[in-house]
Amino acid sequence: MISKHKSAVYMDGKSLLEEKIKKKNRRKDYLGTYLFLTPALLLLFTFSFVPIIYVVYLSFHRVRLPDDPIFIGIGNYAQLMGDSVFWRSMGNTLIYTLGSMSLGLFAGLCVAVLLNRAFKGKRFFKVFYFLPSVTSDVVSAMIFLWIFDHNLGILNYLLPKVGLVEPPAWLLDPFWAMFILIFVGSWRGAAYNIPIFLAGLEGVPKSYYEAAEIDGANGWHKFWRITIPSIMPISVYCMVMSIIASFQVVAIVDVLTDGGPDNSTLVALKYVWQQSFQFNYVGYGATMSLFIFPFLLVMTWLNLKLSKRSG
Amino acid sequence: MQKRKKINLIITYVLAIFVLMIFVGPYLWMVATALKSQGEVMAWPPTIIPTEFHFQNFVDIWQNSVLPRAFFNSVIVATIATVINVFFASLAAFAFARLEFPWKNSLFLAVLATMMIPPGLMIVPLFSLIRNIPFTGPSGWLDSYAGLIIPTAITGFAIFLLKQYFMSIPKDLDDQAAIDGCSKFQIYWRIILPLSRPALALVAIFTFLGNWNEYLWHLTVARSADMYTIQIALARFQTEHNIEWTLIMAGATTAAVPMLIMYFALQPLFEKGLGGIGTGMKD
Repeated sequence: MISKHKSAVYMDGKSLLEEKIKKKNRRKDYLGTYLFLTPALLLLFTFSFVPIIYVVYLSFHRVRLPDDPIFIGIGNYAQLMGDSVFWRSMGNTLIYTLGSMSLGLFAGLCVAVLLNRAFKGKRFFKVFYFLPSVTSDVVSAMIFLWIFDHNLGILNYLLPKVGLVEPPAWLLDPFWAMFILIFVGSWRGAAYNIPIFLAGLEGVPKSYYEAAEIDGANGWHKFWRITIPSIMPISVYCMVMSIIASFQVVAIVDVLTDGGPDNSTLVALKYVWQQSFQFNYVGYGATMSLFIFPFLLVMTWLNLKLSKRSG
Repeated sequence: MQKRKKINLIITYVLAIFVLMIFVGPYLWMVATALKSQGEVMAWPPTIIPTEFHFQNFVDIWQNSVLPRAFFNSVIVATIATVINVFFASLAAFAFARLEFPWKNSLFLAVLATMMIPPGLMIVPLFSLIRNIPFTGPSGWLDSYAGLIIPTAITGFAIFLLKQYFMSIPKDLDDQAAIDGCSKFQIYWRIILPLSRPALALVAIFTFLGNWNEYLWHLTVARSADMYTIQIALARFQTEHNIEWTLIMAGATTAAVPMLIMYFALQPLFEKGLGGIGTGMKD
């Protein structure tokens, strides 16, 4: 648009020539620019957007490797509607996500409030509280597999000492298996949330509290009327991040329960993985992935919007 | 009043130490178990601190398991992915921050859009895609370093973060350099990169950490034991050595220690980055 306007101004021959050279130079410029962009964008876009198209294609095919895909229309979708194991896995995922998200948020906020007090050695505690976010899912899950072990686990030694004579069968019991998954998930989640909540708490202007004190507010009032509303945006951010991560949980489940007992901890993405790579129904796995996609897309979109707004 | 303050402080410390036990206790228990003999682990009641340090467990897993090879694989994968991401993402970020070109806004929106794609749900099509990479063997990039590294190396987040950081550097600096005859690449290399060390380090740390701790994608790509990365090998090791908790915990310690060292050694950078995450990476 701009170049058109400019060429209308320079109408004599000389300027037209100048314009041509400029254009040529600019094209050369763009060429240089694309050298900066191409390697990163080519890789990023290829491995981000091609799979999205591919997953749609696969969902309409029966794919049994190493055979070629066979078009089966909506066959996979019909199968999905009647697949009770899939719906069970979605239910399990929902329970896990809600559990680990709320527990992770609650515990993270409580610890952040604690750290927001003035005391010596605060930084030391803060550094160590973050550890679970640094080590992997597999390592964390493995430590708790050992702690909750029903034969030799330390917990079964400690619990009778505080009065719980008969500890449950932990990972062998459907209820407690899910409980342990949620516990490990929120253990990592809380550790991740603490510094974020703390940054939020430290950002609340002191004058708000002083003004409230003058009006005669007590600690509880200040917390509910000032602290909570002030950190609302950051809480929503933590919540969305936690939902996105929890919905895609696999590693913790693989190590702790492998989906058992009796599919009670089989989460959606684990079922997708099993169908695709253990039972070789790649097309069906793609269909399930695509089915879960819109829900998470809303979450990630919300996340992006929130982080852009606060930034 | 003074007394009440003191009680408050004591409560604070008691709570802080209780929370510390929850977050750090499990790691201490991991290390304690890794240093016990198999006999001591079986003993009831359990000992909290090993009666004698049994470093043999680490020697055993180092000599008779797939873990050393997997450890080496993870070092390779995480290092190369980090180099790729830091270099190429910063190049692209420089273009978005400093250069003018057609479709700039649309391309940047596309970069942001990649951040919205849940990686777990892309495993199946991504697997099919790398199986069919042109000019490769019948199984494509499966079971190869290329498959482990390349599809997940570049992150939209790195481009986004670096672009924001580059934009905070005064433009006068590169104008001055341009007058002195610097090319665009020289401006990027000599001016922007040296001034962006904190942001580059942050991207490097999180890329390395992410690749070291990656599970699902590596599980999908690595088909033979030779290609296992540390997390995959550790999970396999645990199922094979069901009740040998000393060895399993020694393995877990081996997998965790590099990240713990990195975390403590680069503490200021972590602190800076984490404060920024929640506030949308303001600086």
